[in-house]
Amino acid sequence: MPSTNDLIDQLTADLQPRRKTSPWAGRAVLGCVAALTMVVFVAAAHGMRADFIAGEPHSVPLISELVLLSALCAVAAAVTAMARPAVGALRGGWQWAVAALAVLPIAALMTAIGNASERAIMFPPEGPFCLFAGTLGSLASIVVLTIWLRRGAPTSPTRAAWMVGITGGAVGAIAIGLICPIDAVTHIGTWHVGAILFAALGSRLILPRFLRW
Amino acid sequence: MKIDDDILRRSMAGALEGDRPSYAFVLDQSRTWLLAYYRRRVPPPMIEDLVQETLMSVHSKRQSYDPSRPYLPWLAAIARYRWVDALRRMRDTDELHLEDVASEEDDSPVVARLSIGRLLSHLPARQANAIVLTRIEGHSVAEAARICGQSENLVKVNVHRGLRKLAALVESE
Repeated sequence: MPSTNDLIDQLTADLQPRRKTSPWAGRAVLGCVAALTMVVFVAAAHGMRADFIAGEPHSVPLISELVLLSALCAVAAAVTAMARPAVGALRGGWQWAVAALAVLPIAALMTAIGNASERAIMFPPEGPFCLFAGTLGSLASIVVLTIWLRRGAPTSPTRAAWMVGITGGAVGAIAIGLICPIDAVTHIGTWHVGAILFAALGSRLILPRFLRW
Repeated sequence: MKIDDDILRRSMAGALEGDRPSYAFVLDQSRTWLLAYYRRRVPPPMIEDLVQETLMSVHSKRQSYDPSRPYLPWLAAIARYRWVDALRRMRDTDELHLEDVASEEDDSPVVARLSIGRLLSHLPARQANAIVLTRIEGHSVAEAARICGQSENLVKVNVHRGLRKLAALVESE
């Protein structure tokens, strides 16, 4: 290994101007990919849910989509900020957004316990499809965020992997929510939110090695 | 010598534009800061290697620095990441020891926040003891087992778990 003085000389000689990693650039790219994912889903399903198109949305899917969207924005903002490390930076707000996501499965569980007809539609034949499609819909966002984070310097690859997965999963869950005709919170809180869980677990298992530097 | 963050911030901003003299100044000042940082955390034979690894990380990740923010917290985050990496390597090998060489120097608050002694106080006593005995005081596992009244296997498990927890603690700071 060369002496530190030699290393400094080498690094200085190697210096080239470099564009700064901006979290806003990452958010913009993610926004485009998320929008594209949703367009693809809607196109593949030959249109959005009828009530959404008619401008008369059913309250449960609408609230679910908004909860997912707010969590997506909070986690996406936090994960893109991870590209710029700094000791002492406060970036804990995303955990509250993720906690808010638990509202949907908790509501699903409570509704299923107290309501037999809701319990009956908790496991419809469409359930696994929503889970699979939602997880599939997370992939593009996960790949783009991973590539983008690798340009930066995330100092906690494991946490970054969780957050990338939750962000991608939220994109997939929102996309499937645009086309799934089922209104029940028991369905949305299990199968749609389940896609976030799958994406997060998959990212946690696979991504840390790609995010280390 | 105190390092002026504002001068470093402006010099690093210049470096991002390709200004070599500014960059050489930043790297030189960073080296001084890193030597003080690692002196409190890793054994002397590891210091120079870690300083060099961190300077290379500064170079390869310089685009992640935001010139509108202070430089030293960014450098501290990079240094901490490399330190966690070193802790993980330490956990995975039996060769390295955390001989404590805490200096009396007037370190910056950022450095003080991350001192190894303070971090050890967050571990359960049995894990901290096992680490202190084997990695700081340099006892063998057998000696440490005799001193703290644990089996050798338990000492190894406590060292392993303690170092893993230590790495997680440093990461979450």
